[in-house]
Amino acid sequence: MNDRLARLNRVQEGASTSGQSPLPSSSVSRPISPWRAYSLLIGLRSTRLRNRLLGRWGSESSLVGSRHATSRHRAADGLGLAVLVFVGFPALTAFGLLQGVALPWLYGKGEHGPLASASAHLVVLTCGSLLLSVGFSNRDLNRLGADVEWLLTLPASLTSLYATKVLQRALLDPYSWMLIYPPLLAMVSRGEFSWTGTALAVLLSIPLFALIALASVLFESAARVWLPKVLVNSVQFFATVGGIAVFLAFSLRPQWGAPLQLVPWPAVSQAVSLALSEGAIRPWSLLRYVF
Amino acid sequence: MPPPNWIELDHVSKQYGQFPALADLSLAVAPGEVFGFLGPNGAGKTTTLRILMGMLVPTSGHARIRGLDCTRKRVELKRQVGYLPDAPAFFDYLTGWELIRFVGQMHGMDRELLAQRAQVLMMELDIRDAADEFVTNYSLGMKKKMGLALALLHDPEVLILDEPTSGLDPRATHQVQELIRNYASSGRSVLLSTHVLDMAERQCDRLAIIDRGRLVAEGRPLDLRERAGGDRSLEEVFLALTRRGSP
Repeated sequence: MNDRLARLNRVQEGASTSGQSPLPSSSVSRPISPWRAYSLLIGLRSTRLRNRLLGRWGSESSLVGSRHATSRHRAADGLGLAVLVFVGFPALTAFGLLQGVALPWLYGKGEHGPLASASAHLVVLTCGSLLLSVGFSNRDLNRLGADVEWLLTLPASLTSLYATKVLQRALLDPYSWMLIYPPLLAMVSRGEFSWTGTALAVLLSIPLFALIALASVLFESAARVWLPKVLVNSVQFFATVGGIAVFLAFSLRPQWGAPLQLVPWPAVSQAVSLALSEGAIRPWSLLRYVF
Repeated sequence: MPPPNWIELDHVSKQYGQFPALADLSLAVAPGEVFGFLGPNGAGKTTTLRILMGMLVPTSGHARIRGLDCTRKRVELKRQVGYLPDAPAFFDYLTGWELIRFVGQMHGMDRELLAQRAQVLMMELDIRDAADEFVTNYSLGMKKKMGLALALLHDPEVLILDEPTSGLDPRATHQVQELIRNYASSGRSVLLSTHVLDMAERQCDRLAIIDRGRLVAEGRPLDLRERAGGDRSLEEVFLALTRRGSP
């Protein structure tokens, strides 16, 4: 206790010599621009990701002699994610997912033409990825998370809080990168590697990932508000099982997706784009009902 | 001109489906006042505090802090209010310093001032040595202290605390109580919910007791006891007012 008081006194003495009170009484909060809020929120999520991957070595250590976080299992988390990514790709190829999705497009197979086949496959993969995202990405939707309470105590608009959350999910969702990007890459590059094809696949992937992220964030928020707690857990469970089933079925029996090729997906996507542009569907406005 | 009451609830109701969480609740907290909010579990205390923080929208009525509507002026409101949740859940994989720096920057604080205030608050709350640890490794008490440091960092005019001393050891409880008292003595308002009646009696200038979303009593601790006969403790008053089965 004496040690604590002595340290406190030292800080206060230091502050008084610099002509400032240790706890200034005037209000110190100043408004920041929305762009500054966006950049800080993105920075916070990036720091968190860096710390998650690197453990204690990634976090900034400004104090000498202080205790560190339990580094080993933190670092192990990052290692686990890396293994998932690097082992996941070969595993998917082995399951035949890439062939199942990409080959009909590459070689013009499929009853209703290569475009219908590729579109149908992509729609199913997107739905599967969304299910996995809901089932896996948040360990327990019922548990009050930082996103739900702590971030809302900060002077930032709901739009910026949700936009950064969606952006993070869109860019960093491992399921999307593992399950949608490879077939897209194969389709775009038509079987031959090229840097242009890779870049184009990334560009095409991001909007799709953003759509998945937005849908999963909206679903999670709505589920927390409207569904009973027990039901939320069940929904998460079935989403996980459903997502895995979609990918396994698609990997092992790609022909099961044939009926979906009957749907005129280009026309559907055109209609959805039109509806969105005319404001008939405004996903962001749904956020108003969340709180 | 600032309003006479810094925290105002005007006939606020909140309905979750068929369940009335709050029913026609009206309260006012003046500047420099420490206001205690008491009630049994599920009485609607946290719902009220979340409405004041703009996290929940009331079904009817209005909530204002320093004249700002809590639903419409969320961003402006949060610059003037510090909030400590009941069970603070921060982002994991962030150290104490990283959290503090982020919150300070979100409030537009000058870097030097931010470092200075952070140091003093962390020392006062005895969490300086844990600043480099990930907050996910903190105990509940340490998370509470970190939450309080973050709530006080931008020197808010109004402090809203949900169970500020739950999970704290006696020394930490004493530190927090001292901090609240000092804070209110500089003319700011504090609204705190608690189950610790002894603390409420000693710390708070006025108390409100709610039960099943309704206000059942309000006044100075002494007045509440006198109204109940004078020789009864606050605990007895609380138990009598929140008796299950009463209308």
